[in-house]
Amino acid sequence: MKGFITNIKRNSLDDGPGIRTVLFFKGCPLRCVWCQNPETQSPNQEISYECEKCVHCHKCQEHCPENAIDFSETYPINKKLCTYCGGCIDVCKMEALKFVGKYYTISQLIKAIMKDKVFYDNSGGGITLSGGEPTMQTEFLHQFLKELKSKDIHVCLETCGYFNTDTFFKLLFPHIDLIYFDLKIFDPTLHKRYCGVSNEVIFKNFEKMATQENIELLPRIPLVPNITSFKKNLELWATYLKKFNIKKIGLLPYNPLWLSKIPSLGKSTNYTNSDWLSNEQKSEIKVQFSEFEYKNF
Amino acid sequence: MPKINKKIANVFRILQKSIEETSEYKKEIYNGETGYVFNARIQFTTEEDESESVSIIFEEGNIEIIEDKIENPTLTLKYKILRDLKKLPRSKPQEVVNGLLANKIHTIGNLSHMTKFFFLLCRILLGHKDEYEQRLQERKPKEIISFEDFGEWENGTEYMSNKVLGTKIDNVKYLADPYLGKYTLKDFKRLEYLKYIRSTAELEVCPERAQLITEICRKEGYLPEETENSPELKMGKIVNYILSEKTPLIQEWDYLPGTSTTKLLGTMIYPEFGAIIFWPELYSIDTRELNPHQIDPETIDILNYEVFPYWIDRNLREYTRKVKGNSLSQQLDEHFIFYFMWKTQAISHTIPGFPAYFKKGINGILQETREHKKKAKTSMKKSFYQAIKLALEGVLTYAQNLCKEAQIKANLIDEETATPLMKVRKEELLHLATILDKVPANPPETFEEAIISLWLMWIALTQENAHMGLSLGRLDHWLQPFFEADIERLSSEEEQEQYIQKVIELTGSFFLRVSDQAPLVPDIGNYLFGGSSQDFALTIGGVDQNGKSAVCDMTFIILKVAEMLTLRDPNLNARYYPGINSKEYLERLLEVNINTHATPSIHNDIKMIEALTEVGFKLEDARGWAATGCVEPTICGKHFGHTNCMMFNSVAAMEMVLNNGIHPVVSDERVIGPQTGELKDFKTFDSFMDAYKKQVHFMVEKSVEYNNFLGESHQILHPSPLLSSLFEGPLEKGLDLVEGGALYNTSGVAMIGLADIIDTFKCVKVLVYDTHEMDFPSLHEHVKSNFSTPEGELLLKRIGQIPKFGSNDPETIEIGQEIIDYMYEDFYSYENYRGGRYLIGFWSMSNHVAFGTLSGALPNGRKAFKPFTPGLTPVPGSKDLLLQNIHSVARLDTQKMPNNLAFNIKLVPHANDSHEETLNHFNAYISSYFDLGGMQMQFNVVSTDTLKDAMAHPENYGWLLVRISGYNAYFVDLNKDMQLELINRTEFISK
Repeated sequence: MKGFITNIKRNSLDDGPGIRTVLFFKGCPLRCVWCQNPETQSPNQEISYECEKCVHCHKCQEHCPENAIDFSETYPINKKLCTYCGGCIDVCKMEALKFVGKYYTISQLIKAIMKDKVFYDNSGGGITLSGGEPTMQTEFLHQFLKELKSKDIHVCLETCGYFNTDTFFKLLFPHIDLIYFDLKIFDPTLHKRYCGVSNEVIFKNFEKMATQENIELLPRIPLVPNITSFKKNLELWATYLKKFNIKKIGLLPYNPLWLSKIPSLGKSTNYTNSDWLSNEQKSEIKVQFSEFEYKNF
Repeated sequence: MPKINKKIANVFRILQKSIEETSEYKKEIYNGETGYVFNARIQFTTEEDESESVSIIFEEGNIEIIEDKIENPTLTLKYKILRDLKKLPRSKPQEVVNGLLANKIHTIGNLSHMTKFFFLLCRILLGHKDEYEQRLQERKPKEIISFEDFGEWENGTEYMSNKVLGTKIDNVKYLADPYLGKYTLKDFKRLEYLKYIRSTAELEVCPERAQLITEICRKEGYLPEETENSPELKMGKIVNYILSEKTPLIQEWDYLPGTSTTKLLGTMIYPEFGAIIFWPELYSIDTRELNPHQIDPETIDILNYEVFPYWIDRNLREYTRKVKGNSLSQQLDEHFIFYFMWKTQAISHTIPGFPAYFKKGINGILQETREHKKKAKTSMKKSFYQAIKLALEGVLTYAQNLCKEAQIKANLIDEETATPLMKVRKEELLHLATILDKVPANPPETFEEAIISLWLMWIALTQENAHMGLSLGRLDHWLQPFFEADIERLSSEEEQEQYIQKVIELTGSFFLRVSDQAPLVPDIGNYLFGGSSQDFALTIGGVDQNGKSAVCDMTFIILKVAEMLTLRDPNLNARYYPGINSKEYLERLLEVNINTHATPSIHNDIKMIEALTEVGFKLEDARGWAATGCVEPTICGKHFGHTNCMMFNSVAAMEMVLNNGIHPVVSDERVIGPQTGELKDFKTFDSFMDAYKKQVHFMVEKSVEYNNFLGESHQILHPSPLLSSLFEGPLEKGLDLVEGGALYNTSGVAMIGLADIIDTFKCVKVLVYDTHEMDFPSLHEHVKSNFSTPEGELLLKRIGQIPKFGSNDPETIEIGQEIIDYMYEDFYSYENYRGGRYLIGFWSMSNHVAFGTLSGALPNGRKAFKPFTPGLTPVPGSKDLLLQNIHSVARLDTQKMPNNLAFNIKLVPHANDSHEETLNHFNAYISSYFDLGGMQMQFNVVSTDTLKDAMAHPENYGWLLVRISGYNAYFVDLNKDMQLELINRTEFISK
């Protein structure tokens, strides 16, 4: 059994306490238009092309059995023809062409993670499962989590909340120390419009999670201008969270750097906001959460 | 076209005419008052065209110019290309310096003759004196506010955050909050004022010491053939004379009597070592771009007419040249690109045993000396003891003179009319006089007496020798008994708190006094060692000789003072023994590091002690180590380890491998190293590695030879009786330190550029031997062209993909370890002139920049004339590499680095992190590094953006302290290459 992962990021200080290694799982049930990690959305293999690394030796073209490479396009791979055999990637010394996802066995991941155990121990860190949506790979995760627990590693899960309730609580939940639960849009219609699915399941799962004991839960709200960070939406979340007696939350300011990933995946997007949050926007947001504790941004 | 040598000869004739017709100029080469005559035969020639040669002969006041080469030149200046020779008559000192460093001009023979010649050129032909006098007229001295009028002042510490720790830790007995979190510099008005003086005073050249040593040597003789005295006795007399004649000064409102120089902030001159190189700059040092010094006309005349002429052929470098026949090993040093030898500039890089001095007082040491002298059998030994006696008596005379000065100053304050503040000062001065009546003759009993004893001895030591890297040792551990004895006598908490404040002020005053002098850095030094002071290191923490925690009240007081003053000196080093020293102590070290941006550097005591015992230091001695200069360990008071005897450019050996024994920066034809073969003939990676080892071995052999030559010159010219009296060994053996009198007698080497060497091996291995992407000669073609062709650019991109040292790639670690092992063994196999071994370390002062900016391109993609990385720091790369960097450095075997290492990390707190979070992150990195087996780490806690802004607006960043490699400097003092090197270091963000 293998996990399908896009990136193993070491030395992360943003994804839970202490120094952490973050695993980005590939595949997500949501299609948020502002997705920060668009490479993790599709559960299928993809090939990324970084044109700034390419030296145009065009060896890949020579080696492609399907004739699927055409450098007159900004993204040179014809996705319809490509069989993802990887021939082009093998010959690219510059690493301009890469598989987006890689398959890892549990022992491979454990080996990669254990390298930095000393840093987790000294910082109160551990590993963070992120993505994409890690819970989409439930079977693998179940086995992997058991292994992590046997190594006494602190585990944080970052989730969009869209998962099968019963399986999650049975197989995964008991092995997780901390959950970062993303809450995006309160209004079901708007949620469907901007995230591609209904938020009914997410509410249900959040409510079950919030009433569990022995778990640290941090609801997080991404602050996306005009989509999540408008006043009404934030008010609704604040009222909702107070009902559960939640005091500590995470507020995630919009980061436009994801836009640069889009062309390398041969994708396009309609949401093209390239601005960081202004100080005015930030203070307007902070007003809504004056009763909560959150890390300053 | 008239030939260039004819044109230059014509210019020389103008010089000749001016000298012959002007009595003032004539005096420069034939001085009736001092009897000095400048005799020199200097020829200028070029590699390009030997027929373009011109010579100038100075003989008994006459000048002769010859449009050709001459017989028996005392100095040859060989220009690489004709065009540069053409510029000779207009050469400013700095241009000559640049030419020498870049090996565009190469000297063979007497360097002092060169400095004298260029001085004549600057003064007579370039009009530097007139320009200087013009500036002098316009100069307005900086106004310094008196203490009485001293009000609000931005002291540069306002931004600092402090934690409070309410529990006593380690051996802290009296500080209720060891972190002293409530105090800021604003709470210490006097200290703030003294810091203000230090920051306002302009650096000024002080001729006093140079003049005194010249006076006594004129009388008594200096070279062995000029004096009846043994070398030791001669030095004893010199030290006695300098200290007895030295002006006793007490700075206004200072707690400590005595000053290093006669200036508020002065440079001392050591003409018997390297100061003569500064001769051409006498009339321009006040206006040079980097590190300008004020200098008054009297000082210039003293140096130009009295001091420098006397030392022109007597200084250490020229004496060595004379007796060793301008050896190849000396010539390599003068190419500036193979190694740099500190012995030409200074003795030292060691740490005296101050505890024994505290215990005995000078009278006690004198008593011991007398007893040894009685028992001494040889006249050599007797004269050594006599030398110690004279030197120590010099210190006593100086103290007595200060005592009188304190009384005089006190008496000048009229009891009747004085303000209340001045009345306080009067009391203080009388109190100082009482103390000076007691110490340093007798053992100190209070903290104040101890610190005054220490300061007076420190002044004296810096009068005896040019002390580069003389270090203070474990002051927390050594001063704690005085602190405890004092505070025990106080009963109320309020009294104790006031006393703690007083100790902070005294310690702070001591810090400021220690930094009241700077070395005289000739412009060439600004490029080689920009921003460096003498690097007086001070060490805190660690374990005592029984292995118990030595962290105490004084540790935290010193940390507080270092934090509030943010001085480059003393260079603070902290020992941390994981498991024995508390985590809270480590946290405080990090807090000070974050607040000061750059200090202390932090050492893993476990690894350092292991490395020392491995090379034969006894365990209880190894536990007594302290940092010397930068980071190198000395066993205080037992070990004369000249821990920075040389800085060794590991890359020079690689350049000679690539060019079969030729160093292309030096010459395209002259073979210097062994001919290790053409690159095409290196059939295997191992044969390439072997060639590198052969070139390293060649450089080791030469550098050791020259270091030993210079050491022998120290023995003949410049023993150090005063310094010797503060060590275990010399008194018992009757041998000076430079003769091998100490218990331990190693020499310490700094190996520079290792990361670039490892990466070079790795890249060659991958491209040439593993993937066969190209052959070695083709790769070398790209290196020679500095990757400047389109294919070269592509190759650079490809090289970017190869894992380097710092990525935790196992092969880079293996390569690194193989090289380290070889270097360690090779150096260790040699004996120095005192019978000790050579120990290597991997730190670089600032020479990673200096050597880097003089070295050609490398197969790892480093372009020509770009800096190497500091110490053992991996080459800048991906910002995600912090953990891999830490893993990689920690994996190298520190037992092969008994002279320590420097691992620099530029780590910037994330703007949104709280002080507590930032501390936790820093703590996690360093604790993990130490758990993984790392030995030393130092953080620069300043962002790239701040550094860029400081480069653009230096006026706003006077106090911005940065860590270069092992030592601290004020960023604004650095040369541009060094500023850029700091900016280009990978910035990791703790976010």
